Amino acid sequence: MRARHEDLEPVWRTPPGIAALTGVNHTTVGLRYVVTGFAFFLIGGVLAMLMRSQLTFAGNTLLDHHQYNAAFTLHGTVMMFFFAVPILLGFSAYLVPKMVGARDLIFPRLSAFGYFCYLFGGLLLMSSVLYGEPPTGGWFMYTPLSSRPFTPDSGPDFWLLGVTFAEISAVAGAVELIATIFKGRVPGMTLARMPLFVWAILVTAFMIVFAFPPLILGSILLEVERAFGLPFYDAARGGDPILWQHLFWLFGHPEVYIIFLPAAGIVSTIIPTFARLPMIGYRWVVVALVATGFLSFGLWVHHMYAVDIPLVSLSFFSAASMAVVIPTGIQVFAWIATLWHGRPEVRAPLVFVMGFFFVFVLGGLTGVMVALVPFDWQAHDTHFVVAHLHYVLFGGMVFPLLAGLYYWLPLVSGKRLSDFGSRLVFWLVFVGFNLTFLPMHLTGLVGMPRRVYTYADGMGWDLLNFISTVGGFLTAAGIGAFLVDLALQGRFSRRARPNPWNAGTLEWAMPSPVPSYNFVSQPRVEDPDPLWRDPELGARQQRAEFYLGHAPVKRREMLVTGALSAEPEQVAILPGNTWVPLFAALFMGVFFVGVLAQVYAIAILGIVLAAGAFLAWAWKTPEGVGGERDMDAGLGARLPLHHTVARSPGWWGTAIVLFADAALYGSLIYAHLFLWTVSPSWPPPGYLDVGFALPAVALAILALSSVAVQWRQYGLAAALAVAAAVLQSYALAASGLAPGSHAYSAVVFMLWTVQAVHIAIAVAMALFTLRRRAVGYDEAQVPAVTRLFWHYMVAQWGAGFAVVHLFPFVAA
Amino acid sequence: MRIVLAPAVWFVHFCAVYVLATVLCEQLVPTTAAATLAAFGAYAVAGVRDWRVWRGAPESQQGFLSFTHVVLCILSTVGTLWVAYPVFALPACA
Repeated sequence: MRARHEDLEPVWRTPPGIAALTGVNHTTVGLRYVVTGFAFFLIGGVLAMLMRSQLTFAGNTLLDHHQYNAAFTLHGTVMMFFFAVPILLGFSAYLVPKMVGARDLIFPRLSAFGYFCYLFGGLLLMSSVLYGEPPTGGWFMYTPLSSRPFTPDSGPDFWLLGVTFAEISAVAGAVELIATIFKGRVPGMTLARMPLFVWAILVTAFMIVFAFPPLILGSILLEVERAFGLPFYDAARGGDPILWQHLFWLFGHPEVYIIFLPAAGIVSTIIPTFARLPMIGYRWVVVALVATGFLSFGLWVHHMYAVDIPLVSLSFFSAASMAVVIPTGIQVFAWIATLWHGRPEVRAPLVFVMGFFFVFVLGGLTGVMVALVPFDWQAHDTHFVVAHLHYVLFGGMVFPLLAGLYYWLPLVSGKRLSDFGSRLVFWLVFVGFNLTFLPMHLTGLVGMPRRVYTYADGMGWDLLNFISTVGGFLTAAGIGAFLVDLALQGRFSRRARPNPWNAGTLEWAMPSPVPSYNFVSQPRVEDPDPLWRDPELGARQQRAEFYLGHAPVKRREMLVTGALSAEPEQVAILPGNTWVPLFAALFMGVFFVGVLAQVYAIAILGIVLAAGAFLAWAWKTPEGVGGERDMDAGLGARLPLHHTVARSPGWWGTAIVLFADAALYGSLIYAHLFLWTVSPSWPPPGYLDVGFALPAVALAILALSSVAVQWRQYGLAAALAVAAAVLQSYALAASGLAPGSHAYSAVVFMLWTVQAVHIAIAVAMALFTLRRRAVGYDEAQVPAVTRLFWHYMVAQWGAGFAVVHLFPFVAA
Repeated sequence: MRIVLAPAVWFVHFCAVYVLATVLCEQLVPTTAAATLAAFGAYAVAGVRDWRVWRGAPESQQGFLSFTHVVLCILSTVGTLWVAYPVFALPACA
């Protein structure tokens, strides 16, 4: 029997009322991200208006210097961490499954958990304002200003903990998106047929996996220094404040492209639709996305030209900054070529894309200017840089975002758009933005520094600042008009027909507003623009002509396909609505609040409760004991259920998490090596005597545990790992390294602590696997995940051991 | 996932010269030259190989990935050249 809407909806929908908090569906979670992100955009905007008001006249007294510091710190932090990244993640969470023809993201509970982490992180940060101790050290939170002696209040702690909480959500989102893009594409959607938006998100998600861990690590080190006095950034005890800048910008520059690439993906989706032409140079745009993803990791020091770094090193980063122009240029020319060859229909989304072109290209040009070391020294820390970065970020992200909101609104609301309102919004924002930031280039060039709360008159800055403030409020009026337009359209617009823009991508193959399960049956596609090739595809999938279109519907089923081949491999049984993600995030919140309040009993309680929630999460997988191992997926495909397969989506997700994990540990090793290069003696005198024999034995035992795990001897492996951990801990304790005394011992202590946490997790996983086996679970997924994590954990300590115990001999 | 080979080599080369510039001074020019030539060799081998795959089956998924990698090899060559250039242009130990 074929499935109908009435069969699928009860199984997939998010319940109304308070139970909506249990919703894990990607449509629900994606919209929550977008709405929350927009709320933070408004908060950041209000802070911007406060700053602009303060700077309208020389000697203005609306804000004092402390309030102004808090305003620019929170403005930058909110806009970068709580608006730009999450709202684009929300867009991706909402759109990627629909564009690749999936029914949901492949780890639904992780999406819900990520959203709550983000929300609670934002609330934690903003609560600093109510508490009266907002962070004031800038969105980059540079040490030593943010160290305990120079900022004794809790401002930096609110920042570090709130931002880290939100970053967990970004990494969770990235893992989920990569796994869904690799394993969730409908049959026939090979990599060469994947929508460019999905390509952009794939590259972005990998960038998040590698770029966020350095900042998470940097934040952990700074919080540990502030709370427990371990001197990572304290020059007096062998640390270095510049280490923070490196870790921050190792994250911070890729971050710019993490924001820009999804926006570029939106542009690459909108332009072909309105040009009525497949994207010209599709392959070249893919090249550009991948190249940008890599090059962006070689740019971080171009934020640090004014730091005392050898000229030749600066030149590497200047050269890489020039190189990144090439892929960006490829994309811009591909967009122009597509518009040129098509018959562009200038509707609202395309208008915003035009605005993006103008503003972003100007920002790119000033970017080339500040990438040059001598010019940067002139413009450094002036309003020129403020103008540049707003042209890049507002032009490169907010314009495409508004374009995307107008473009996909009919999909969400099912309503038709009126062009008048959106044109008004566009002109207000476009004129307002340029009025604010075009004169600001001059303000900077005539010498006005950034981050000053006021200035004397007669410096030639008065008129320029006045114009910028007027422009700022015009922009704000434009955003206000957008909200009004949204409300009016929601209330008064007529129903839209399906696929109102005649687009070619799969998300328009479903009725609007979209149903909770996306597709009645999951189609097979033969073309990058499936709806242009077969306009009936939408109707056909609704008639359940494709995969998994059977009834009755008892559970959430989704097709899993080959990462490259995109041929059907497995059927994933997705979990339904549950409270577990909310509670897991709440318990994590308890941990963060405990650390913030320095009541460590509460922090430990939080982490224990969170661990319990995660165990419940892992245990309560939807497939039961015994029973079904495969099923008929339709169109003649008989496929195994995911839990019976070793290379299940869970294995893929774990593998991606381990990349992030390796980036985190790698950052810690980088910190060690960096401090070595700047220290007069590293290790410092008297630190060479860490015993070598015991740690070597411990490493051997740990390596043995890997063999045991491979032979499925989980109990033995756990025992060996615990023995190795005890031995190594004893060896370090016996060597008398006091973590608080010197940066060297602090880093060694951290290298081992992080490893010990990994061992604890691995042991928990082994016991979990044993328990599952004991109660009769017949599965391949969980043991495969345990083995994968275990081998990684041992390999990680191989690297850690080399750094802690072999490196001192090399360095000495 | 072979298509990330060229940019990965670019990144490794980038990190290598960055580290070399920090720890070496007099030997920077020859070591950078060696690292750069090694990177060029990798691009050439991978690029020629993928060029052949692409010419063999331009419309297949393999052809698509190979084409992408050929262009990435060219881009990475430019990027590597630019990054290495300052070592030869600036006075020693600048």
